Amino acid sequence: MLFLINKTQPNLFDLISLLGGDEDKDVLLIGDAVFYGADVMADKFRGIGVEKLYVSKPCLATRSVRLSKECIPLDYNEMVPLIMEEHDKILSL
Amino acid sequence: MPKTLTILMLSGYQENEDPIFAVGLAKAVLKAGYGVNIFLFGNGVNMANKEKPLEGHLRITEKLRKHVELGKVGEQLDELAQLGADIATCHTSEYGRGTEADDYRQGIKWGDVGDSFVRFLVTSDRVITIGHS
Repeated sequence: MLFLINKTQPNLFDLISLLGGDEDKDVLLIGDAVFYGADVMADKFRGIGVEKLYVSKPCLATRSVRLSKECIPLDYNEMVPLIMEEHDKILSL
Repeated sequence: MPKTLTILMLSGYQENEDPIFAVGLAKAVLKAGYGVNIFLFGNGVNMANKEKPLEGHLRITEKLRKHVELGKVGEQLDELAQLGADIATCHTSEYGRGTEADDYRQGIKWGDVGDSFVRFLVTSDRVITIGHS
């Protein structure tokens, strides 16, 4: 299951845990949500069972974020297989 | 038959960068050989119409105008339609914003939730929502 997150929100981690349940969970951060890719935040995703944390390169380009080494930056072309092939379920939050 | 992505687009020009992300992703998906549907809903419908020439004295500075133009992705929607994207609006959202009778950009179609969006949903392999509501 892929969570597509485009904004910051106070209950994000609870929502991912609740909606993702026991399924394999990956996250793609876009828009203002790329701030969750900061090194001080990325561990929280690990804590709720997120396996891979992807971040939009175009959205990073306009923000000053010290990105965690855990994050995988992707351009639009690299997002295509993630969305169209690698995940059957995508939840937008 | 190639897989199809439907994007439910809830944001309009200048609210945030959602439209910029949506057209960037849609273009990459189309160029990779997949299909794309875009349903403009809520404030997203303000991207559906042809722009009207502004008249009178404009107070916007050139620097600010250039910044604002970055978020206006209408021409990119035109390009997506030319590449094969199916783009439809929610006419109720348009009615609520006073634009239902305005001319559409080339390639953008009048639509509704009950028919257009449902058709997108039942013919899609992936659906994502992009918005802030």
